[in-house]
Amino acid sequence: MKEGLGWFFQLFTGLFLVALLGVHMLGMHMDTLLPRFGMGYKDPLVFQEVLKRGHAPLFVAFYVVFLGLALYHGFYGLRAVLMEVWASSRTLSSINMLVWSLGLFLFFLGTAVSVGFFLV
Amino acid sequence: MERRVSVKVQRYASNGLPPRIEQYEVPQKEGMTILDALMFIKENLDGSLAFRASCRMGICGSCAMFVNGYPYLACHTQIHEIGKQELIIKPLPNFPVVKDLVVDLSSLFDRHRTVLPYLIRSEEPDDTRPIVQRPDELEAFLKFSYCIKCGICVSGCPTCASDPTFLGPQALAQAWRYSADNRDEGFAKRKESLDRPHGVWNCHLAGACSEACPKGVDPALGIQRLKRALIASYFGLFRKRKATLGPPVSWEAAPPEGAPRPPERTVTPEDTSLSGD
Ligand code: HEM
Ligand code: SF4
Ligand code: FES
Repeated sequence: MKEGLGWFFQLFTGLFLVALLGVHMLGMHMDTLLPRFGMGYKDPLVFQEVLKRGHAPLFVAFYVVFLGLALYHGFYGLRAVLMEVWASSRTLSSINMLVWSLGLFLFFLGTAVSVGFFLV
Repeated sequence: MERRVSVKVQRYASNGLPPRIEQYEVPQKEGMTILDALMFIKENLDGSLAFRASCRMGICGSCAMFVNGYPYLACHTQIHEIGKQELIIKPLPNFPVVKDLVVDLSSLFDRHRTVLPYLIRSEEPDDTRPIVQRPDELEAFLKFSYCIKCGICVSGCPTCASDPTFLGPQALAQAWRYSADNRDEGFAKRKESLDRPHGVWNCHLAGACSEACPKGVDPALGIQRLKRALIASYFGLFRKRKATLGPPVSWEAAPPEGAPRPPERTVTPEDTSLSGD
């Protein structure tokens, strides 16, 4: 893969993260703010609400996309950090392997949990 | 009373001994530069002190050093600018030290070479026809061409500090200096050295290079433009106006009507000792 495409995709995912992280933070963690404006819902972290979201297809899709983009963004960043700390042409392929396998593993794990929960 | 400045210099002689700090007292004259102080030490106090300098006017790039924790050109910086009566002078970071304040800049020049820092044309140049360059086309690369290869930007760059194989701000800024030039057709060739691991993408825009550059080159800006041009080139969107050739120049032709004239001669060749006698 062209080195610059990886970088461009990190920039791109960063842009998406502004939106997705915004929705996530506003909905889940700043839950006193939205209801004041008649939006969102109260107590989003109550188990019943979590259950409801876990069975809503839109939310499940949101989780998987958010997970994929955040993992790509964070792990590409980690790759950049590692390749500068262990700067050598020999270490690069090991760093790529490590970052890809860990990233893909976490992506499949997260997807399995959210999709699996949706299906039961 | 005579004003004095205390100059502490890091001494190192690559003889296996660790670096040590040596202190000198220097009488401070008005307008005295850091280089003047070092010259005073070398001429009057300690002839064994090693530092590099040549032009003494901020143009050769030899005298970059680390003064009170910040990189400066020693000849271009007056002592009063530092604002302290104690100077702590060390060699430029991110380069191996040869002796005292002299660092080995070969890695800078090697990295500079890899980006093909010259105009690349697809055709043989025609010496009789100049390439037309509009003022905005000159402006596109002008400030990047002020680089004197002093290494200050590299010494400030946090990526260079951890990754010695990173191309670095000096080389990257020069890659853009030539790629942005309307006379250049070498961007595709230059891409090989830029678009790779430890190439342009390892710049994380700390901006230290631009802040420290004594010549106002702004390498960080050049690097961001380079990134944009590379991404645009993936989609076939990196375009420059094709350089056109001007009319043939005849060296014998008379200047056109109304063109400004050179001033009248006030000295004839016979008046000077260069007239041959
Ligand atoms: C608001 C959303 C975000 C935006 C706009 C954003 C933007 C960016 C950009 C543009 C870069 C590239 C910097 C460079 O090339 O030097 C970057 C790097 C990075 N990002 Fe994010 N990011 C966001 C959220 C996140 C999150 C949630 C994480 C953690 C999972 C993260 C982890 C990283 C890491 C580790 C780097 C590499 C650091 C580096 O290269 O210096 N970012 N981010
Ligand atoms: S860009 Fe500036 S700081 Fe860097 S080498 Fe050139 S003149 Fe020195
Ligand atoms: S001596 Fe030439 S730049 Fe300082």
